[in-house]
Amino acid sequence: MDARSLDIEAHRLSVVAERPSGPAERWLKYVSFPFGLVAFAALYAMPLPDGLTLSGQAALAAFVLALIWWIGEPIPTYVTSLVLMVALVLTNAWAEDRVLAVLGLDVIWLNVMAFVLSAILTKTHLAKRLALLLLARFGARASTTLLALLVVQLILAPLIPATAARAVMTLPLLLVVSAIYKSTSQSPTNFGRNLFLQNLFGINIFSSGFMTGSTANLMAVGFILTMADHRVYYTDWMFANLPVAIVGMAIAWWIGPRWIFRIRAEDAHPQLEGGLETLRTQLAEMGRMTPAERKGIAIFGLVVFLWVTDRFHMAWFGFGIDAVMAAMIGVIIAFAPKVGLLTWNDTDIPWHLLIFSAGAYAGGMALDQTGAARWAVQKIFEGLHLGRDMNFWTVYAVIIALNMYAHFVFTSKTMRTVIMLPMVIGIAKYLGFNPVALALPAAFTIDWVIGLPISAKPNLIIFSTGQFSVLDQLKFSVLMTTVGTLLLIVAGFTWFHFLGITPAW
Amino acid sequence: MVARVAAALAGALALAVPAFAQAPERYVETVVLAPDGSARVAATVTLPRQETHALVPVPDTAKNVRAGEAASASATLVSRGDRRYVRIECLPCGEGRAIPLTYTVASWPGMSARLAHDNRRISYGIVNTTGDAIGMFEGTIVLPPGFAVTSVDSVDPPVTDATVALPYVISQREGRQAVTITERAIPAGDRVRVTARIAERGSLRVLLAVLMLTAVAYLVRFRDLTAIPKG
Repeated sequence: MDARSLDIEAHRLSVVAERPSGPAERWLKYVSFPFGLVAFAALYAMPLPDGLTLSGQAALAAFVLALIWWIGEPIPTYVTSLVLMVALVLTNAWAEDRVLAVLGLDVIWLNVMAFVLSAILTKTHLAKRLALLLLARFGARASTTLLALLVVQLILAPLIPATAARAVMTLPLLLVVSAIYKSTSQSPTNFGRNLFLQNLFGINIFSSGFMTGSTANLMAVGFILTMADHRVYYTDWMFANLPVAIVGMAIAWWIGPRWIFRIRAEDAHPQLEGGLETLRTQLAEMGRMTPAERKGIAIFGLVVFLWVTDRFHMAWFGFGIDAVMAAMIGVIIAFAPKVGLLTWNDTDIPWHLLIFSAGAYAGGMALDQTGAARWAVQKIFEGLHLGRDMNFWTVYAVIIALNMYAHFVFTSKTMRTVIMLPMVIGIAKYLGFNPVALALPAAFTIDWVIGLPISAKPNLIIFSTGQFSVLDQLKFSVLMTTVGTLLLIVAGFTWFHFLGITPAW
Repeated sequence: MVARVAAALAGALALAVPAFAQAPERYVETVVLAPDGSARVAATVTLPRQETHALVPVPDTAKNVRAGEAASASATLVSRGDRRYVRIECLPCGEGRAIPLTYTVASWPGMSARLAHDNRRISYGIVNTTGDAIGMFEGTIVLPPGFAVTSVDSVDPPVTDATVALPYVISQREGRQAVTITERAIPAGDRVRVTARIAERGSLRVLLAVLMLTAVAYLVRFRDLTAIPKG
């Protein structure tokens, strides 16, 4: 491998890589196409169940079709998204103007701005410098490299609540690291899969360690205050759940390269002739920081500063600057003649991914707004027949599992919280349990949104690297979601009981 | 178009919702819509202990008004200003003060003409025009046979992030879809309303056939995916 492979301008995200498929993947492709159509037909034509509207039924059928095709990939994921958008409109599930308007959502804009900002780090070679610095110290083995990057994510989590912003910041760094380990979108290795999926996992679940980690966390706290009359403080949340998030991350770091995506011994070291010494040499050859790098740091620093200080904007400026506007300000400066350092040709925007995400968000929003998601969750709760004769721990385990796995059908943490948390509190009251003992641990599952590329904003940004498939992510996420469920159940017996959240067992 | 819909909605609100000279303790009604737009309404008005009558506004085309089977209750169509009411009365009023009321409507004003995608818009609810709070309201509108709710467009009071349970329930009644609104204590001047689009479900045979043919065509055209690559 030559040194040029570390220049990530060579790895363009906008180029869709052709990945060879194994026999199992080819079979999955083959059966998923007709299976998706049959599932769609069955759901769309079934007698309308109680509580579901026609548009909800159509949205559910279209979303399930897309989900099966995203997983099996009989057609490219972005084409599936287009099919989903067409299906939503033709089946009258969601109005055409609303479906098309999804491409203008803040999350799509944030993605576009994020990819432009990433170009700053790549063009100035800042990403390469940071990656070399990190790897020269920790990069002798795959495990320490992965661990170092996860520690970076843990440090960033309380500083930058916006998960998408953290994904943007670290994406170029991850790309250089993956290149050093010879994992590319054309030929991804298990190191690459572990690297990107673990960082995606870290970005999301470290947010669950802090009450301010996401808006949905704060909404959950609001529900607990208004419906259960209990105030949850920042430290209550952090002491309770940060250890759970860290243990969850440690488990992912441990089992990922060993069980889920086994890293071969030959892939577990930097794939450069001369190994670490070459990296150190390259770092030395880069010399002192260039003016362009300093300018890049200044622009990126300004954006990060605006992200970190969002709660003070109103007092300082008289108006608020949200994550998208902060990124846009950075992009404007980056493109400004003489002041900035980018031209449009330097940017690398994967439009296929934005089409994919637009379709995915349209599907998710249609599920939410037609009431289909709420209906599905209610049916599950009803089907469980939670009765007054059940003991607390059975109910606790069911609630945790349901809240955890529910993220596979929601694309919005906020919507999931709005639907699930009041139900949990209502069930707790009905069964005569302390609502906080069920609702707070349920709230700790909010940020475990690792299921699919569409489950959360950073997932999509990381998915853009093309180094793992939807099926890879599903494999990783099903296992880690199960681990998370078990962790929170064990924590309920032990740590949460010690903190006075759950009762004795 | 928007103005016409707005006018239709305003008309529907003005006519489709009952109001009372005195607020009842409890008002329960079921509106059964027919495909031609006519409706059969069956209601139960529970009067407060000290009251012997109430006025219920009805659409202009209401007829066949009856106050159930009770000999002590009567129902009479009356006009006040430009609106029509049913005056229901119990003389003497016994212990049970729930008065059954039925009437028919030639053209239910809360249902619009056909819109895009063969949808119709229905608006259903109650405005408390009395000076007192209505203790409890439960209203059900049963859709014409074969019709179903396409989507619920708006709810009053609006559903917010703090809404725990939706104020309406969609269910089946004798094989027909129905929307029920239940609201405890509607203060004077407040209203409860659901505006939804409904549509008759067309035949899906052609679509299902096309989907199945596409699936089979794919299995044939892409059968090479199952072959083991050489080498």
